[in-house]
Amino acid sequence: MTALEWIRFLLGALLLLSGTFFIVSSVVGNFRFRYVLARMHAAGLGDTLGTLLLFAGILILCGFSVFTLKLLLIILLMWTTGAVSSHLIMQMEINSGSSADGRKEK
Amino acid sequence: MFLICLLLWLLFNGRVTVEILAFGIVISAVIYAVSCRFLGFSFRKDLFYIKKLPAACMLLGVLLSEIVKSNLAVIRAVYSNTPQDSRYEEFDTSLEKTITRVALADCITLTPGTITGRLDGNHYIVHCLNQEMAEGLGLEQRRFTRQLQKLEEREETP
Repeated sequence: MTALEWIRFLLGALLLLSGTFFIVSSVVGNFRFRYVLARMHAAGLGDTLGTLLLFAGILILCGFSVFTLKLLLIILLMWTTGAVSSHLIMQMEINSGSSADGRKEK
Repeated sequence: MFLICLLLWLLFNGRVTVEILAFGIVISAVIYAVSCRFLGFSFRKDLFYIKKLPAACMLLGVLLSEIVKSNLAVIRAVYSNTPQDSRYEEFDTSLEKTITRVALADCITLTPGTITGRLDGNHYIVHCLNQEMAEGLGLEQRRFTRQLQKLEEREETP
């Protein structure tokens, strides 16, 4: 392996590990937070930066190709549909009259 | 629109041959014609959207920087032992078009720590994970609004 390939490998591995850390943190947050809306914030960690870092890592390790473009399309779809589903769950919670921390009624 | 259809066709095929390209051009042209006839697309509108690309790219840049910042803040909240003090924040926006208001709501939701719950006219109700998020929401929405206003400015032409 040349020096450039080592740098590429290390950078890609670092990005993949960071992405995994964000996804694991989102799982930890889902267990630590008590209320559904707070858990949605934690779930957002993996959906946004987690997937983006994984994508960047794969892009660096595998190079730019049709497959990386397809991955980018998947992230784009995740970001657009995730926001809409969050709106819907949130709207339902507001309509149900729960307070922001879910402990008492409005 | 035609180019997007063609690029998607090529992307899903995974390779480019004369046959695939020829089929792609025909299918994309049919889809574009149907879109122009029934969905209100036109070549002038396409040119107008292309002109808006730089402003859209700037918005994407701001969105990415806000996503990174808010992710780090939520990570701190996940691993800290401080009690959660989630709250609803309300604010009004100066954006005029419905599409840019919805885009602002989506941008806020895409940054972890803040989720838009309701959008009535120009009034937003946002759920914030904690005090830090609630304080940062004002700055965040001002940055998004500034970029979205640039998109609105150029919307006057067609």
